[in-house]
Amino acid sequence: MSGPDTAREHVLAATYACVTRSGLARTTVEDAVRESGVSRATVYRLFPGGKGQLLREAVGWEMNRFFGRLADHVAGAAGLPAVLEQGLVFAHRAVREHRVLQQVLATEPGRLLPLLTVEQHRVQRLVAAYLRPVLDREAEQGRLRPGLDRRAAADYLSRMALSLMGAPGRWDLEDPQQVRRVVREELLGGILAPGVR
Amino acid sequence: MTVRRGSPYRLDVVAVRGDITHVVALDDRETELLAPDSVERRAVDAVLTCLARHGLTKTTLEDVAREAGCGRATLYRYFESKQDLVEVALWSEVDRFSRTLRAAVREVANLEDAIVTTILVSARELTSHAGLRYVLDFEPEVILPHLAFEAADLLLGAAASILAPGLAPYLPADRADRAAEWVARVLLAYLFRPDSSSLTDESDVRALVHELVLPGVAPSSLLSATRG
Repeated sequence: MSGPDTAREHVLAATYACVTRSGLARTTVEDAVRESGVSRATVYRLFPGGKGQLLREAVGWEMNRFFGRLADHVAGAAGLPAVLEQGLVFAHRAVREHRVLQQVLATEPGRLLPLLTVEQHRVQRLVAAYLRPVLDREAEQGRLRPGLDRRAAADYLSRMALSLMGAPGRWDLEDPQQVRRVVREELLGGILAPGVR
Repeated sequence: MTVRRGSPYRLDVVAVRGDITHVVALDDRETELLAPDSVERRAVDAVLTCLARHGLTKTTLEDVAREAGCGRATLYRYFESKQDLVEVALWSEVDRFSRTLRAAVREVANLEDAIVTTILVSARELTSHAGLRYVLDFEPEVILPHLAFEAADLLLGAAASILAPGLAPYLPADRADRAAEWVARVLLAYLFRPDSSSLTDESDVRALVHELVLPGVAPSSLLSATRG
């Protein structure tokens, strides 16, 4: 193991493992030190904010892994509608089947959600940044509404898609027809050029 | 699980585990939910003042009684607990909000303006609510469990039923509910977030609605519909 980034990753992975076993409240910096095998001095230097910072970044670490899996899943999708459709289906199921998330939500929602909320702002920007080149490629093919502000569109799509992933509301995201409808109408109604499918 | 139907407050409210799932105003009444100068009205005003000052956790019924200028025993005649009082205060605020919104959307004549007005009024009311701001800023662990995942599903359903009447003149019934939920989502997705539109600037909201929201909730054949 070498370098601060590797050590950081190691500590965060270890912290996540501790949270899986003991939850957020009962995971201490000492637990992370022991689990990771990284020196106590290094851990305290990497995370001067202590347990609070460590837990917040561990949540962020797992969210990055989650969205990495999502990006891998939609890598083969052709075009913006397909990226959104496949992404929503995958992400919705992955959220529901994420054992640690569901466990901590059931037992310690008050501790988890402030951390998730802070990290979600960062993730929303990452999702928008991911969608921007997808939008650009559609624009090159003349498939976007003329005059569309692509930055605003990427921002909008990332916020609304994240909203649907976490709380589908009236939408049954296991029904391909409904997924298609919400993507092509609500999400892309103002984005795709008229007549584009 | 708490269900209050045909309550003295004339709001059909279903609350599951403290989360409001469905709110329907039983009439178009202009008057307030709680009679002015009633103990309930003074208690609700008092708890909202206390929330804005000290937040939810630190506010006690003693604080509320002192602020309301009545005895604690009097409060207990009307409210079972602090939780009960806070729930009534929530319904009272929801009722006040929906009357404010109703008055504002009455003035518009097309769907785009109805959506813009709905967003502007909602954003203004929510961002200027001192009690809500305090809890969001300093006691997120108390309120976020009511705003995320399954609780957000319930919240969106309740919000949609409050917003739908304002959009209903311009859309078929099923599309009004669908559009109302989408507008509620926009509010939830943009409000109270860093580097995000606060949704209180009219030109920002008009651009968002015209470019992205309206085309999503209304196929172009409905866009030119005016109040029938």
